[in-house]
Amino acid sequence: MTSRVRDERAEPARADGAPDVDDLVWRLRAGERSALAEAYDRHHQALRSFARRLLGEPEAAEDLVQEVFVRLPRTIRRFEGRSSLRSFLISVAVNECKHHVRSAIRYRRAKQRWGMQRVVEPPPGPAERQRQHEMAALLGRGLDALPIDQRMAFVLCAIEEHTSPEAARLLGVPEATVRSRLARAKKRLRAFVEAEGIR
Amino acid sequence: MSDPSLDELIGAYRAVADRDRRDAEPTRGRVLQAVEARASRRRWLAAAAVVAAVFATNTTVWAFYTGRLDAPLAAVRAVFASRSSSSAEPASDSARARAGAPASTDLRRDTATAALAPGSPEEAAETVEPERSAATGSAEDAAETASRAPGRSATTGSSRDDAPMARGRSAGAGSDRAPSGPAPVAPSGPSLDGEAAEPAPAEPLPEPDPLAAERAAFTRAHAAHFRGSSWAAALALWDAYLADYPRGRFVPEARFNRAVALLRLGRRDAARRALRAIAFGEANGPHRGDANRLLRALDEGRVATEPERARSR
Repeated sequence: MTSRVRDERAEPARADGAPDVDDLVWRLRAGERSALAEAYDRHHQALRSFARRLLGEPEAAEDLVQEVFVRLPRTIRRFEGRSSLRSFLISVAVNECKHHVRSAIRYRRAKQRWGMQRVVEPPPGPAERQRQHEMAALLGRGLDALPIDQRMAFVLCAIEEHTSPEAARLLGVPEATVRSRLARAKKRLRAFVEAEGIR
Repeated sequence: MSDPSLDELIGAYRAVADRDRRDAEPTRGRVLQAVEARASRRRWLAAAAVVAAVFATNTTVWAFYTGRLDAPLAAVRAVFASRSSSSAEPASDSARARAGAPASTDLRRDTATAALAPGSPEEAAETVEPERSAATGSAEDAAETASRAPGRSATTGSSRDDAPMARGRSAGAGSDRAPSGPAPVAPSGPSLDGEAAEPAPAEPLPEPDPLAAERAAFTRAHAAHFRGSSWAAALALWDAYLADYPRGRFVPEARFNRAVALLRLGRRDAARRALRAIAFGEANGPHRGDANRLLRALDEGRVATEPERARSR
């Protein structure tokens, strides 16, 4: 009963309904390999999706996912149970992502310099799908032009649809800061889109 | 609908990002492999640390029991002593005497050692301090030489003739030493008479350097050996030093100089024994080569003792 109560307190906002039991956290802290595999199986989709949206590069996103899970046996010691394990993993990714963001930006710019204009290769299909790819590429370029703090605020709030308090918790900054960063990011992106347009 | 174009872009970005569903298995494999490699590396490091700790412990114990830690420990003690002397309030001489403080003991030892030198005990007691200050340079040099030596063993390297030497020293010096007790020994003459039991005025004495007495004994022997006229006196002072400080800082120099003094006095067999103890006693001893050369010269008859020189003259 006590365990159940603790689970509910520790996991107040579970999206998938599966209890993220304390047992998994304790096993992770004990360094069990099976616990790490279990954590990966449960949370890799959410983390990968966030990484892809944040970085815009599948390879960089895989690197970030790998890094977060490789470091998990150590970083789990900082986990206090006040949020879900998924949120904790995303906050770890937020802390670790800075150099991944920079390398992803460098990679995209290099590809553009080498003449590979399309950052994301559009699959063969109807014109609507191609237009979707072009719009995604445009937003990707706009995100690359943002400072990293504004980029993270925009991805978390506008793309991942976290609330401001959640994003503030993940970023470790006050809620007002998140809101101001988001507003500035939107302003700059609008200006960027107006200037660039869809090619 | 305030910002339709941005919302549209966000929708497209989300859709494209989610569409590229890669196989998560390779990443999973890499994660588990990396964690396993890190764990095995940690196990190896822990094993290596245990081995290193065992090795370090054994080495320290061995060094402690073979006397190789004496010099570093003495240096540490000296540092702590100098710190405590700067912070603690100096005690009076009578308090030192009650507590059996090393200051009085060292002074008594100096007096007793100086009594072996030619002259009256009073003269010796008076000349202790000037000698020490005058010959500090040579003692410093000797200390440098001793500190350059990689190791020193006073117990393993001591030869058979060290034991009688120590016995003779203690027998000879025992009568000269002041009886142990609370009688304070002042550096000047008047305190040597019967009024020594009177409590001395509460004059603060500086904390003694733990190595000062040893350095003074070595300096006296060094001066007698290199500047004195009597090899017998030098030999007696070297014996005294080695008996008082069998693990002292200048033991290698003292042992070698003692062998030279024996040789000068014409005691070839004793000198040969002492030189052999130096030459074959301790690996990497600072005077090993000198002792070997001297032994070879002795065997080849190239060394003349003082009595032989006098006869040839």
